Amino acid sequence: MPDLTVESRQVGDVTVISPRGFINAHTVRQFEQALAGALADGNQKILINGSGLAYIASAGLGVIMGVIEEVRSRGGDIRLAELNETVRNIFEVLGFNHLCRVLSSEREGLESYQPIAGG
Amino acid sequence: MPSKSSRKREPERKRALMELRFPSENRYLHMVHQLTKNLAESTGFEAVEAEQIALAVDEAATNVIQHAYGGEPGHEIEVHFDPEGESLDIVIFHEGEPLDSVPVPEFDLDKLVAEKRKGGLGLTIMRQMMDKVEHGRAGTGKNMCVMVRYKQKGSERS
Repeated sequence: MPDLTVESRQVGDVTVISPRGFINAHTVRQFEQALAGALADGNQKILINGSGLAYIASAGLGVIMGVIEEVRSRGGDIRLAELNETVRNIFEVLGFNHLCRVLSSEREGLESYQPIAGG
Repeated sequence: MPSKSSRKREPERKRALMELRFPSENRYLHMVHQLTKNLAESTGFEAVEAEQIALAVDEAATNVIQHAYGGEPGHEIEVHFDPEGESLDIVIFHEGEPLDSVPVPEFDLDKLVAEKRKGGLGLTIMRQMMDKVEHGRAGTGKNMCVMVRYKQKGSERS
């Protein structure tokens, strides 16, 4: 079984990136390439589906930290969904839950990017 | 029949100690991570706590590979685990550059984000996840990183 696979797919104008395995100094390049690839293609609305993510070390958090300002300056965002308890805990301990929106499901993550109807 | 004076003495109990040696390559980090997690779980830590401890060791080993050994493979990293007593004590030994001399600014996530920094989180993770993190030099001359996590329940981290 590979240490990390990263699948990217487009759902409307949102790019869903699904890492499966773990992200640490050994595997981070794959994750970084998937994220950089989406941004290079002009996709600025990113949703990371963490349902297959066992854990994320500082190398992976650093990738998000390093690009999120630029993504936001272009009108986009990086949001996360379906994090397991340990990943969510790491996010909370480091304050990443204040930096990025963390949604409980992919559906909620996708909906969070849709403009609010009505009004 | 042995006399009272020749009664066998109880052997002195030694503290249980586990040792691991691995080469300075990132591909071994997951093995170290999993071993630490399994050990922490088997010595009474909850799953989330065990993952926190494993992550701290992962980060400490990453620092040794990347900063102490400058990313050079072929060097040895040694990890000692002492799960006895009130805490899980972990010591990482290496013969690279001492890491205690590396200046580490106060953790400020907003500042790191504003500066578009990718690094600067490793030591913070270690300090947040463990009760004690100290760098120093062992009697053998090797550099070491000592990390301690107490076993008490109700940690504010989880």
